[in-house]
Amino acid sequence: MVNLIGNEIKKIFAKWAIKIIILMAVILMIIECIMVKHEDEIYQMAYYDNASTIEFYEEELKSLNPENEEEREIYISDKSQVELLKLEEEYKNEEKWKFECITQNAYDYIYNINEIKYGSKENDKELKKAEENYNDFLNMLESGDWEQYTKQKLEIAKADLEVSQKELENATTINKEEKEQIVESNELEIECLEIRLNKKIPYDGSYMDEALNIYSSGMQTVLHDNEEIPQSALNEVRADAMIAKYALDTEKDLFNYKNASRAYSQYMESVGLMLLAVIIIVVAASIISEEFNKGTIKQLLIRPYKRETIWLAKFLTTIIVTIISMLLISIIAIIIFGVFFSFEDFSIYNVGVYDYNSGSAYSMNVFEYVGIILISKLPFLIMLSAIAMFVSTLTNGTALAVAVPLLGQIAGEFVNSLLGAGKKYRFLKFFITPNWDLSIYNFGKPAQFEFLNFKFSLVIYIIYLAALIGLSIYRFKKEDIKNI
Amino acid sequence: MENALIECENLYKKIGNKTILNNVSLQVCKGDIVGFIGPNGAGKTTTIKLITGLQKITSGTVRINGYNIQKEFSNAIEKVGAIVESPDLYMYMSGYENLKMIAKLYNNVSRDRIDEVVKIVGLENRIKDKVSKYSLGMRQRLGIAQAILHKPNVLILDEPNNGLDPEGIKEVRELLIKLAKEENMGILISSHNLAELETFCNKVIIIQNGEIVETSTIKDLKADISGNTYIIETNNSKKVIKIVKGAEIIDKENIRVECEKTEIPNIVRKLVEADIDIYKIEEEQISLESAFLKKTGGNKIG
Repeated sequence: MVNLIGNEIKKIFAKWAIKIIILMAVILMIIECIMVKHEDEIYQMAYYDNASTIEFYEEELKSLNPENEEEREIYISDKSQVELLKLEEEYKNEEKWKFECITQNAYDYIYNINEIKYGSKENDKELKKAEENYNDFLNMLESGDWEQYTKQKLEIAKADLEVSQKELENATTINKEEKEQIVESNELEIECLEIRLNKKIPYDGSYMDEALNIYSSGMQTVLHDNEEIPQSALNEVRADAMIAKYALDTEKDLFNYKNASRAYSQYMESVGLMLLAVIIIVVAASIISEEFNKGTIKQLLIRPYKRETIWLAKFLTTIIVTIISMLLISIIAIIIFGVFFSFEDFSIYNVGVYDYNSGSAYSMNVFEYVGIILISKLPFLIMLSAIAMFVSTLTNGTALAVAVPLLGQIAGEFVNSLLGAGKKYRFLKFFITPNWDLSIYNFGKPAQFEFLNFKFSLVIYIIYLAALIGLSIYRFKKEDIKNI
Repeated sequence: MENALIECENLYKKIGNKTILNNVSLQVCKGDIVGFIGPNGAGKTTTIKLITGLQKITSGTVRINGYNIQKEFSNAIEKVGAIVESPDLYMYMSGYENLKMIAKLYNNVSRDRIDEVVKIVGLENRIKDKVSKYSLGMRQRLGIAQAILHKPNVLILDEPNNGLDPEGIKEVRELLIKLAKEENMGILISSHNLAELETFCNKVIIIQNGEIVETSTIKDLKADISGNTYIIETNNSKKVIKIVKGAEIIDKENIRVECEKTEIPNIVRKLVEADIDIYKIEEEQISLESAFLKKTGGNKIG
């Protein structure tokens, strides 16, 4: 068996296919490096386009009449948008936190002013107050004192909280829930502002700022638990928020994007895994059918080995080749990203992880993280191989054996959306695609659907794998080697 | 027979309603070189595939070295080397790598054995080249090397002379004779080239439409067909046919006559009495090919 596997591996690496795929992996790594390095410029390009956006809005404003009630709202929002964009243009080359601050906060001030100005009930007092607020905001930007600005915001938030708490007390049973949400939302805002002040985090786009923003917006989304967002997506948002909170508490830089560690884990999780899927499908689809088509299978079958042994050796070979490719791509990636950025990055920048079981976040070394991801994806890759080999054993054709596992992935998406569509389609949970990727249960994460769980998926997975292997071997043993 | 290496008994092979092999029985013994002859589609390759376990047997048994190929496959196939249809080689690898992979599948094949076999088939100079660069003849030789690498005692070769030049054919012939004699191998060899087989096979099995029509030694086969035909060389063919009934003229001096051996003295006496000069009387030498054509009723070969 070991000798058979050794021969199979030798055959695969003697051919060009796998070498070319690994070469492609390297090219994609270099592209990833360049993309990450120039991430800012790529975002900047969107800002550079402000001029044409302003033009577009101004053109539209000309055709709108604020006196007309139907068009008023659009007019106000367009007008505010134009003013915001102009303000952004003004501060484009200033300190980064100012720009961040504008994008995050200025729109509300401007909108308030415009709403009063063009609104149905013009009110001088309110307008004055709104303009004052806006001026305070601008002054704060000019003076560069973000703390002052934050303190102001904190006071407003506290006042808001008092109001909403009172409203809650007087709430009827019908709107109680809604009022509770508002109170919680206010409390969250206060918490975030206090963290900003205590930890001295300016609006500067630093990793702490980033973490605070993720925490704040994430928790707000979770609080306003509207029905439109599926539970599984909310779970992810909460997990990200908890990781952000962990980053804030420990002051660890978990949201830095321009480093080797991040580029490496991101590459392996997306491009790397895709290439590995391609490798295992191509190898599994051709490992049997190619030998049949070229006739070389005969020289293998007239040797003192049982046919089931030969089939299993080939199946194990696809897995071993995938693991070898995994290590190879991983090592090349570490070297390329290490050289491009810095090898120290791998020890400096850790990956934040949320443990769904204990409900706590922590961080781990990037190698440990990527290792867990890759190993947990192995069952999925093995299933792809089993499917490709099953088709290839049945038909002795390579093309179909490549196509079926790829189509299976598309079918998987359809099946998943049908599973969400209602009880009528619940039986599809016994299909392989919702269960073949066991990595979705990583870190105790619950499944997309409440009727799926790790144990169920594992049982379905094993049944399918055993059936595919069993049927393939049964067929392979009965196969008559046809005359050419 | 106690020396039988391959023993096929009453083999049937049916695919759907079609009977491919019909009650095929054959034996290959130690030291035998058995020619397996038949027209295209007669079932030569199918028989070989049943013997080597590449196709399932509908009914009947195949024993190799006493082991049943279906029930004790590994033991039965252990001492078999074969080329089926054509040499099956990995084109993207070198000849040496191809041999090394086969060697790894057995416990008893050392590096020295690979070198030895390479020398036997005469590929020393090109063994490190990719097989895709080999000529057809070189591939045949590498195929034979693959088949004899693990010192089998049974060698099954399907059309081994395909693509070989006359020199190559001669080499293969000498190699096979040597293997049969020195290693006491049993060799089953199917070939279109009947003239080739004639010179070194000691047995011949003729198959037609899935049935064995003849199993005998080359000598017996020829005798069987040629036994009653004689060539008489005289000074005047035309006179002879007037005296000898049933004779036919080959040319001015030679005639062919079919008769019992005991008739010969009578014919001689008559010719002498008629004052005809007799130079030579001999049994007609028939080639294996003519014998084969007669047996199979003129079915074309090749």
